[in-house]
Amino acid sequence: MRVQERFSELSGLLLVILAVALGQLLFSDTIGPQFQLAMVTTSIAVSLHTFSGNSGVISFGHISFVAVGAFSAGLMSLAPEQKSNIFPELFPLIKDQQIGNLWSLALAAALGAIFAAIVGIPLMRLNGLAAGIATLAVLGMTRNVLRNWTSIGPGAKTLPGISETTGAVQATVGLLLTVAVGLAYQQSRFGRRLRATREDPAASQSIGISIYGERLLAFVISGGLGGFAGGLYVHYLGSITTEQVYLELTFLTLAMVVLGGLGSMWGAVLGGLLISGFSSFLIEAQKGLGLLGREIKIPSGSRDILIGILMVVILLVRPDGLSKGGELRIRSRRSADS
Amino acid sequence: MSRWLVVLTALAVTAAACSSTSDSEPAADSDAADTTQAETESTQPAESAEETEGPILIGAALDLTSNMAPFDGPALAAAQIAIDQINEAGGVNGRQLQLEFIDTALDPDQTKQAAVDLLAQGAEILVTTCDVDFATPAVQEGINAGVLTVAPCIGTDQMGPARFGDAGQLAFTFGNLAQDEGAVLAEWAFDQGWTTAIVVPDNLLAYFQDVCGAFTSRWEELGGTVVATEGFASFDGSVSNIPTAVGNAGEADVIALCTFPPDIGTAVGGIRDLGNDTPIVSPWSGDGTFWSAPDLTGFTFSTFASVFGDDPNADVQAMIAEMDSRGSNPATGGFITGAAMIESLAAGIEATGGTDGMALASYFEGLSGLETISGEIRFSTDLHTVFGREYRIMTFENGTPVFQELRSATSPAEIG
Amino acid sequence: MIDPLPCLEARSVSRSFEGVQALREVSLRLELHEVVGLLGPNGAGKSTLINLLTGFDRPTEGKILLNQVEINSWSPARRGRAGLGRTFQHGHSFAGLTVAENIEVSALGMGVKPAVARSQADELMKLLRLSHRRSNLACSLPHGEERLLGVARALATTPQFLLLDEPAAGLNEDEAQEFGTVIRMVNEERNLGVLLIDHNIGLVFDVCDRIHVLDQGMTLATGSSKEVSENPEVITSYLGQT
Repeated sequence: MRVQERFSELSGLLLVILAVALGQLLFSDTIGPQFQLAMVTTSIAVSLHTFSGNSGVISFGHISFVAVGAFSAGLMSLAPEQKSNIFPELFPLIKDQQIGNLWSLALAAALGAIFAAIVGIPLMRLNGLAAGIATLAVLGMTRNVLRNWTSIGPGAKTLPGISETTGAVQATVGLLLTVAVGLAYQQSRFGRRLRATREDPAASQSIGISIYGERLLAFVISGGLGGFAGGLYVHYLGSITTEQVYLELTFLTLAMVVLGGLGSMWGAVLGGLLISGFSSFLIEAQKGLGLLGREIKIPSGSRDILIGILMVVILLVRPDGLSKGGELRIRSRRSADS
Repeated sequence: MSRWLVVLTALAVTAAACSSTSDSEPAADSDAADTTQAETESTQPAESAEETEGPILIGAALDLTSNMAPFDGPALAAAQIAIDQINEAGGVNGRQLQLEFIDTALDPDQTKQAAVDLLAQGAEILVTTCDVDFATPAVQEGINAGVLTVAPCIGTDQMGPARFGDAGQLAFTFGNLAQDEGAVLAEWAFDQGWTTAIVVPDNLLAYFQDVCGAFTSRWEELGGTVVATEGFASFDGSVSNIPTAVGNAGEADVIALCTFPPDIGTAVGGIRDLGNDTPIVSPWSGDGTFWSAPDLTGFTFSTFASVFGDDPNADVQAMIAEMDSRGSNPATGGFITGAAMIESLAAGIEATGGTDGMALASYFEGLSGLETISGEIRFSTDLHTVFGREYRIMTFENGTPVFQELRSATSPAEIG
Repeated sequence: MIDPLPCLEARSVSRSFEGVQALREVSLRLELHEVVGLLGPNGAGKSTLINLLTGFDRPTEGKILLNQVEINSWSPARRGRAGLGRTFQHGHSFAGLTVAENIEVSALGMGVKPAVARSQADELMKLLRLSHRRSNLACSLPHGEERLLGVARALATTPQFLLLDEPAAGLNEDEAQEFGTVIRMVNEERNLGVLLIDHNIGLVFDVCDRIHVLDQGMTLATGSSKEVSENPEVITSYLGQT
């Protein structure tokens, strides 16, 4: 892929993300955070895409890495005095140390990648469907370990008091960084080899591509990005429980990737931003809001149903998702003519 | 590309339209006022303009639909009654009190957003749900904004600096200290002549672990023996093992069970179904008959007030009657904390002359026995949870809880 | 006795599926300088033999050797990297990728740098007359060109041995003839051994140095084009029918 093409894919996404980031300036203090949440959730969708989109193997366990990143970043940001008061059973190494915001994000990314490597070494040997289902088992195990092993985390309780450093700037920069790393991988020889295995496993093997090796690499990168996004998430929330990084987030991010168009970064970003926006809108509508002069109130709990309906409708109209699997490219007039 | 930009722009415009016509959310500060105030149809002016004359807004982010609803709902209703009474008597420092609430459904994201919304509406006091874990997202929004943040009935020592660091100075709860409640249960049980106990803590909430921990601690101080400790966690199904585990743990005079509905029903029902009639003691989370079998006997709990018609305090009985007449019949005695909370807040606002968070916090830390409908309220710099209250000890007889005695703990128990 | 020449060899391999004997004690040897044809009616075991050679299937008995080393346990990818290129009867192109990307990714599979892969792809598209299709998605190609893309993709791995499974199906006579020329040219210029399966008997007899005929999983005949075409058994059991 030529440098120009690479740049055109990145620049399109960059523009859209910056437009959304600037968009929040139009809104009040209560809506602004919804934009940040949207960007953080989209980072998670992008990290999921990095493995699932390129390999074609749906990972139901991706949120495990987000959870590891979120809890590690959160725990290590909390002051030691608070940790000894709230969670006296923590291992001393975790209880007595505290690190800053950026280090906590780096730690989250590193642990996400390491955990993905440990899980991926056995799992990536399985074929696509079996691997997907096995990742669901990983999600369940991760959640149960986090919920019950009080030496490494808050257990079933809420982890409180995390510095809320993910504001407008960190959410935007974090998403851009996730997209840039994901796209760089996708455009690299490794990413392209993995996409070949997605297109045709047998043919890819015949040209010397190791499906196992390529999937494992993508899984680790995706886990690292997922851990990083988890760090962004916990610094947005300020407090977290295991249930916030479990099934609901799993299905929400899968919906984003599938609805946006499985296989393209543009799809993950578009699906992420649109579903987050729609979801925030519906939450407001559940509370009742004025829309163009009229009062609208939908029954509480209807958000999930409406998102489900939206997914079905979009997939019926565009089975390949909004992006149809393609990337967003901006071409200068000159190169479009040539 | 251009097509997508059009779509995004359209979405942005639509969303802008939504936020600017919303009349339920007056602008919180002047920044937001620039974009939203112009089109706001609301007749309420921005609160900053008349902070001293308008009503004092108390914002409540409570659970009215999920598992904390049986505790939060009645507390909210009692708070509203107390507010009405104060307003009828002329308000506080000439200002009326106004209560706004948002249902969190215990969802952490909604809890956080509810607090953000209430603060944006100009809440000067924030009220949160009755469990510190579930309340955390809202508490942090409140204390980070410098607003006094209180819960009617959180029962651990966590609602304060211990959990939230320096900003936690602004957090208080009118529930009972778990160390105090566990101690009173142990002392009552020991007075029944019982000496051996099985302890069953629910590891979901710190409150449950702490009450059971305090029970164990005081029980052993008194000379009792803990035969076994069988933990589980609510909502993940592990409660189904408890009846058998308790049966297999051996003979004991009493079972201390620290959990809440719905899992408490599964645990108690399961134990009795196995033919095990061992007396069970429980903290306030076992109050109410909405979870119990119609013939339950030998189950004792401590609570704030009896809602079964036999409370020894006439004011409490009157409050229950008032709630009945408003259609919000309390299911547990915890409702009374909502009224005590409002009475204490009113006293604080009157004493400090306003709603400044730090001033109110200092006033509360100095309280040593403020008389309220829920007995004497006391806090200290370390303990932001009420201790030393008189508990109602209630025992189920054939499905109905019956008042036994008023009892205070000799002192809060020490727990690890 | 050690053979100094690079070669790909099946040494009396058998393969049975659930009791059905697909191949029985077949031996075949392919050297760098030659083009060998593999003929036989449908179900004779031709594709099975290619799958055994390239690792997509394992023999129940016998050995596969590459340059005198037994490679029975090697994965297809490892054999691909070790110099075995192949095409598939049913295309198996990377449908969602363009023609150029199909070839590039194949070079990338061997670990070359992206820039090198690009120039290799350009060269191969020229060689197989696919340049005009460079930006078309592989799934949009007509059958004939999809087979050619398969050949280009296999060549991009710079193999020592190229195993072609019906590459000329879908080509008309002129195109087939032209394709034959390309195969010879590749064989000579790149010094690689070619194993060619095709139903176009004219093409096979034209291009191949030696021909190996399979029937019902067994070797019916081997030898030069002339020898095989005059073999009475081949004539009755195979050539006669077509």
